[in-house]
Amino acid sequence: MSITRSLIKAKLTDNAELGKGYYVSWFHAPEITKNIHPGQFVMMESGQYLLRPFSVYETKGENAGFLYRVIGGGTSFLSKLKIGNEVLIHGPLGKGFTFPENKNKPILIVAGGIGIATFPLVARVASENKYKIKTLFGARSKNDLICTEELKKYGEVESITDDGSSGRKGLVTELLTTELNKNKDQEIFVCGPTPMLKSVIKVCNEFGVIAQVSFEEYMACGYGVCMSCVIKANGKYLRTCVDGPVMRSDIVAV
Amino acid sequence: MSNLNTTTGKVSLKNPVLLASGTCGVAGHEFEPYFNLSELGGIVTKSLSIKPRDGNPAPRVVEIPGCGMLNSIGLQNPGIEYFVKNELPYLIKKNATIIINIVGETVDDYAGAVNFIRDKNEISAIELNLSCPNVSGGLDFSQDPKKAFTLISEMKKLTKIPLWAKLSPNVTDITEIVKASVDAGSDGVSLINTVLGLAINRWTKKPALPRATGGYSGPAIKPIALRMIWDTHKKFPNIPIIGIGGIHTADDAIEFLLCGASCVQIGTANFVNPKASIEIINGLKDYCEKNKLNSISEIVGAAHHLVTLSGA
Ligand SMILES: Cc1cc2nc3c(=O)[nH]c(=O)nc-3n(C[C@H](O)[C@H](O)[C@H](O)COP(=O)(O)OP(=O)(O)OC[C@H]3O[C@@H](n4cnc5c(N)ncnc54)[C@H](O)[C@@H]3O)c2cc1C
Ligand SMILES: Cc1cc2nc3c(=O)[nH]c(=O)nc-3n(C[C@H](O)[C@H](O)[C@H](O)COP(=O)(O)O)c2cc1C
Ligand code: FES
Repeated sequence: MSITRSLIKAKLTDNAELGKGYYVSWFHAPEITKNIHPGQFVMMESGQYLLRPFSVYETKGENAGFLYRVIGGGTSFLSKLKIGNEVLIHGPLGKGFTFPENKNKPILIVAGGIGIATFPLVARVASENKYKIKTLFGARSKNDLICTEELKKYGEVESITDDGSSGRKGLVTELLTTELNKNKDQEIFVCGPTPMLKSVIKVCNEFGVIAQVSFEEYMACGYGVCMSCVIKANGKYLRTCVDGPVMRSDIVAV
Repeated sequence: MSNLNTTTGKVSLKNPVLLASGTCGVAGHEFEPYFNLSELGGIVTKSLSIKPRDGNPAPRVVEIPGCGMLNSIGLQNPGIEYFVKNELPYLIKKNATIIINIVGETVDDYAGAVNFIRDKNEISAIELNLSCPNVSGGLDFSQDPKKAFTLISEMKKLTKIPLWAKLSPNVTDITEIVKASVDAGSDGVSLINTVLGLAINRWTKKPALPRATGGYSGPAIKPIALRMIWDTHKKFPNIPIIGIGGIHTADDAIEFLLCGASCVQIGTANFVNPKASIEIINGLKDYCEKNKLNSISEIVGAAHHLVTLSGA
């Protein structure tokens, strides 16, 4: 068990709107930036009763950034925080992505919607470790194609939208199928809404490849004590907050 | 130095703060980064059944803004046999004060589970979860005094370990069930389990939880718990009460003790702050010092007396 976990009051150092309801909030949180492994998350006080789970989007020195879309009370509260405001942050939590032992094996990122928020940190660390990276990103429309410029720093980015407002019209599974037809020998990292994850897992199963999939189930505690965040894997309900959020695609029931 | 040592009936506790069933994993491993289980008054395990239970599909929880949450976990647990083999040794090694919570659908289910632990003297108490709101099938043991009486008297025959009956607030008169439990030999009553509730999702136009209803817990249920403890202590001042429901701070815990609880359990508060129980213990220490109490148990039930405590 990770003892490098902390429960701290962190000060907001910057709050930036990326446009169209997307925000990045930065907090001074050296305890998080020192210990974070790409793909892990934190539970954050968000002006509601329960804390809210967020992936660490990026780190800059001792500041940890969180990228989110305003969808309810908690995210709305965070988007209105002012510099110097403090919130409780609990983390880092859960199991992140595992980089392949073979440094020549390319990493293929498959993101859907706000699932993209977990990948800038993953891609930067992977790139610092000399992995070849490519990103496939499916979003609802042009306005939801966030972070693409940032991810292009680390490798090729292909995007697709549900409504065709930018790039091809369709689903990210189409890009994945094309990509796997070209090369199956890639380490696949996936994050997005549950229905998208299930479609991606089906494609991976068809190709006989195993992906690392990050689940975003509803979490009440984030550290394993409430049993709210389960998915069926290996025939049992496993807690995505401690046994995940990143899990192997071959054990998950779809 | 003030003294947090206390007793609940025959059970001695280092302090009156325990972790509530279902809010500390199965056996509390998850608290290792924050504190030692031996610092607590005790830990109550997840409800354990004779056979492992899968629990319900997700979503299992919905937040009630500002008030708490509803859960429909479905009593997911690895079963008593697995627990005794793989988890009990951990709790013993950690020097925890151990309360095992048992649940079942029939008297035989409970008896089967109790038989696995009946003579283990490392166990301080057995808490019988009489209410399982997530399990279907009519009135459960917590809603029918006759059923409660039968269940507890049968368990009493099986073991000398003190029994606590954990009761549901979803009844007309809690004192009837309390009386049946104590007449049957229960050594204490744990008040309260979750309150049956429901939430609607306006976007899907459906209940937020797949099984529609769930157990309500958190700040909103504190007054309900206090009222039930009040009624119970007033009618039966000698029955040990374990107070549960929406406790988040030492002040909350003090209110439960004043009302008549001899110890308290911390539930949903663990979700929002893994160190809630330890902070409450420290707060109780300060309270004893400030009020020059030799023992925290001096305030148990004090709200029922006509005298006022200095400074309280
Ligand atoms: C491990 C993990 C990492 C996450 N990382 C990010 C991230 O980096 N950026 C980000 O924007 N979001 C992330 N999420 C989702 C984020 O936690 C929710 O958006 C947030 O809890 C919403 O809170 P709220 O109070 O604003 O909305 P609520 O008022 O709680 O909910 C508003 C609506 O969103 C739905 N909703 C609530 N929680 C979730 C959820 N977990 N998944 C899908 N729908 C939900 C509700 O059903 C409701 O319809 C993550 C979730 C998990 C489990
Ligand atoms: C997620 C969750 C799971 C629970 N599981 C159990 C359980 O297995 N057995 C039990 O006796 N009580 C269970 N409870 C009830 C709590 O132990 C406690 O009685 C109740 O939540 C009220 O206290 P609180 O408001 O402090 O949480 C559960 C509560 C929650 C929130
Ligand atoms: S969120 Fe509580 S166990 Fe996973």
